[in-house]
Amino acid sequence: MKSIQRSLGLALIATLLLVALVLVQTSLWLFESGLRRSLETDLREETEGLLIALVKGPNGDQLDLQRLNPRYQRPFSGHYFKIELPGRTWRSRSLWDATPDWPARSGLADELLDGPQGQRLLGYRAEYRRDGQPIIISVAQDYTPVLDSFARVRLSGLGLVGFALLALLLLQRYAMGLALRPLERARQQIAQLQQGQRQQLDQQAPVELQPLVEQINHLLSHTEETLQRSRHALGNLGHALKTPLAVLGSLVQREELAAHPDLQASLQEQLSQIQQRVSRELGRARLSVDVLPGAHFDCDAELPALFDTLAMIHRSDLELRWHAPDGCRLPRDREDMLELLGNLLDNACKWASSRVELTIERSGDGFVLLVDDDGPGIPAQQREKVIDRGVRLDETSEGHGLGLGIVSDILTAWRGEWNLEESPLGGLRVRVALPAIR
Amino acid sequence: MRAPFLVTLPLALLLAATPAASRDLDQDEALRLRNEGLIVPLETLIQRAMERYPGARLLEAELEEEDDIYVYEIELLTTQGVARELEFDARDGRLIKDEED
Repeated sequence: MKSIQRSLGLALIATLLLVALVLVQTSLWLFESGLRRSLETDLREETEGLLIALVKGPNGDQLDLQRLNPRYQRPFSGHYFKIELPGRTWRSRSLWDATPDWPARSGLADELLDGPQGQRLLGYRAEYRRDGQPIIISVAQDYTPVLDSFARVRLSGLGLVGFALLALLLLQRYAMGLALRPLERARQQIAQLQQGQRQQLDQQAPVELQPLVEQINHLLSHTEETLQRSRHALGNLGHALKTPLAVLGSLVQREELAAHPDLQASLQEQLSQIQQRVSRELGRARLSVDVLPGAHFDCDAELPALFDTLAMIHRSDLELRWHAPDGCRLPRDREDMLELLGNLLDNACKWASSRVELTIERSGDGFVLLVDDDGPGIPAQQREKVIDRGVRLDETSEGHGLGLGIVSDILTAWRGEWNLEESPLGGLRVRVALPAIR
Repeated sequence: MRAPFLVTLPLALLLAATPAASRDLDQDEALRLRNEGLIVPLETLIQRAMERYPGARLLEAELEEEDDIYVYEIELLTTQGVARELEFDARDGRLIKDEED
């Protein structure tokens, strides 16, 4: 998987490494050229000192050993000279039997010379004239200690760079986590959205996330709007069809048709099928979309009204009760839930002899709804059929209309399950299991 | 003028009286002998001495002629801070002597 963290980290490392290497190398180079300038001055002064040590003696030119630096005496000491006169040459004792390639041009040699014992020498050549004769004085100094210390500095510089890189990477990782936290918050809000706990994302996001949040909110309201519109359109269509269907239904009852009972019966059946079909499709269309943002069923607010209505419709001697956890909110569409409960309770009321009870319980992340009555119930061997072919049975039993068919549709859309059991009250118990919304 | 003469005369006499004359050679002679292939380079001998005493530092090296034999005297300072004197046959680099100075 592509990681923002990794690509940012790589870019950071590459940039820093490049900058650090260039910096380390450049500063070393600048330092070394400064050092060489200073060494050049030292070496020139050495040649001048050697020129002074070259004195006139009784046997012509001779080197005054008193004036020589003792380091020119010790073999391979790292400090060497060579003085050339037209007739004579002096080599420092420190050179012993070594013969470095002295520079051919005056001034500091560009290249380091190979000295004895693996030494690398910085060479300098000066040309003077005295008493009409040319004097060439070359001096050299061991440069290996400098090279060694430079290598050490470079190594520790690189170590420092590595350490800085590591620290920066950790820092960047931390900053990244901090910067991405709002995204995680947005994800949680979207999850809440799905569970119906909120209608919109929090507007107070960082500037960088603001457009995304706004776009999602915009999309949400747009979806909601579209959905509402199509629901309205379907509702309007249903209403628009109701009157013509009712008119047709009464037309079928007319006496002109009574002469043709077969025709009348057939027309009636077809009309009722159209009516059922329209109602079912209306129900299905509403269910075709999963839970809407912000959709939930507030038990405390909705159930009393629902039970009042049921009490009004049905026999007044029925005892209706409901039990639900405190502050229970079912994360489903309010209208669908009303339809589901309404149908189940309506059915129960029809069959009950004196009591109907609704129980809502939490079950893990989901909910269980139980509808009990004390009516005759359904024999065990027929319960399966009611569930499997609920629609077909409904059609044959007068008065139930679409009740169980719609229940089945709603539960399919919710990925819920339902089954029929024997109620402790003596009649039928309908058990509906609603899974948690992912 | 008198004093130097009084010092140098006995010295010269002493030198002349010593039968097995040993003479220090200077760098120019050393280079000539090396170029003629009569002695091995000093560098080789130092390397050999360093192998005996790793990490030692070179203090002084002298080439002496004793009875027509060239001998290199190499003085080292070992890592323990002990000065040692090694003598090599300058012709083939053979170790002749190795003692604490």
